[in-house]
Amino acid sequence: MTKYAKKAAAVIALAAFVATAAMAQKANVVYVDGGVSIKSTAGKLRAADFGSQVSFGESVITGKDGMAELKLENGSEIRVSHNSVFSYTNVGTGAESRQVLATTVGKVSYKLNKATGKKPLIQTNSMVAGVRGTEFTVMAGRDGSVVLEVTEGIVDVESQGKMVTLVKDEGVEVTPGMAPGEKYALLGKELDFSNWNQGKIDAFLADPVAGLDRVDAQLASYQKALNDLKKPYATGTAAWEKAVADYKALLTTGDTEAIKAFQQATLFPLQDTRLTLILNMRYHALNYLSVRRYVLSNMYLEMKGRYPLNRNAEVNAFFAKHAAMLAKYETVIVPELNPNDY
Amino acid sequence: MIVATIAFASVSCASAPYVQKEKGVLKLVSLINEGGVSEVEGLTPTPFALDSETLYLESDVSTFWKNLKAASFEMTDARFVETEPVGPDSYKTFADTFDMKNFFEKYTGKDTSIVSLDTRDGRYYLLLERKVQGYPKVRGLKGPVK
Repeated sequence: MTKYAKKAAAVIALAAFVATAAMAQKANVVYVDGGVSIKSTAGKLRAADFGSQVSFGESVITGKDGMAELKLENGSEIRVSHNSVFSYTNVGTGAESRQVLATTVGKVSYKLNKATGKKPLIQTNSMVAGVRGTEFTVMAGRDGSVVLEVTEGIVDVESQGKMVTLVKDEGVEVTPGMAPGEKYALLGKELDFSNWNQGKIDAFLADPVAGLDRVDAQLASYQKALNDLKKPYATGTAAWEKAVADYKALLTTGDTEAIKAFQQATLFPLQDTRLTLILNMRYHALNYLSVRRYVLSNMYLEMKGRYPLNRNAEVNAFFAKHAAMLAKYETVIVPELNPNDY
Repeated sequence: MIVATIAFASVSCASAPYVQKEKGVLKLVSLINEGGVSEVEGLTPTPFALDSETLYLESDVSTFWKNLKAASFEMTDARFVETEPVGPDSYKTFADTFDMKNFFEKYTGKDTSIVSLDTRDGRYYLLLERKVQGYPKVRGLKGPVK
């Protein structure tokens, strides 16, 4: 498990028994231009407008001419550029809940308030980042690659167990399934997202199967993280079920002191541990879903549009691999999802 | 009696699924074959079903139609086969998957139909909605299936 996943797990473990009042946290839409939609947790799309609120589990999707600015309750600001998807989620529950700010597609700029209590987790399709009150921009390419550039403060970028620390005027690119690349200096100018993204698409088209292989490696890391939790979950569930049975037996004795002691020492901790595991498994499954939804689908449309009918061996190999990846997703990840995740 | 008949007819019209007409569908096919990218793009809402995939971004839909045009794509010798209102199992026509099941549940309604077209290259399935500017809206496309 990575450093940040461990941190997230620790946060969840501490928070699991706390009431879920913080679930009500919202991001407020303070500026909208052009077409912008909010995708609800139930998968329904609604138009975003000034004053719209974005809750945990929801996404902001901007159109070709759209952009949106959001403000979090702690004053932090988020700017979602055109043709982008920003997802607002959380890990943990109650007072220990930690925001997850995810750039899934396109370009999102963050100006995070230093006064923030729990530091948010910055998520993308191929890396996570920890921040310490800072300004930075995340650009998520359509091949799953990500660039993060810092204009103020410090950001730790982690992928595949390796971490790079960025300070002001530094940036780094992360290819899916790989460790962060070498960091570079911004030289007073932000990366041109459109050109960079087009370059990524062109590189993918030059060798589409290799592009799928990279994404497959990224998905495999999410799958492994998920699978690593299955045994502890089974063990935790068995222990919790036994505790529930013991607790029911204890209830029949009417011994109030013993019941309370059992709750505190055995039942609640086991319950919390199990909840933590469930939330972490969902976290990995949703990361997998995000890559499948926004990166794989993009690769498919690029190829399908270019090769609708006449296909050579390489193109056929792409579509065969794509179909195999979808079949794998259906087998290993869909059982972890519910219809509202779609 | 007359009032009751009119009222019944109105209720029937309001609840009956919208039916795609062959003429309108073939007009849409002509537009696609002629490479009317901006027009077709305007008829294509998001999310859009493409085979077993879902496109959420307008720019993705735009890219798809532009690439088809650049590839000189045509539904050659298109022949209208049938139209069916979307039902509980219609998603299987596109793909028997979690994603398509949820796409159909969330983004199609009683006015959405699956229209089958046979062409020289195989069968296409168009997921169509009520007309706008004289053409059906295109919610999805699958094919060609041989």
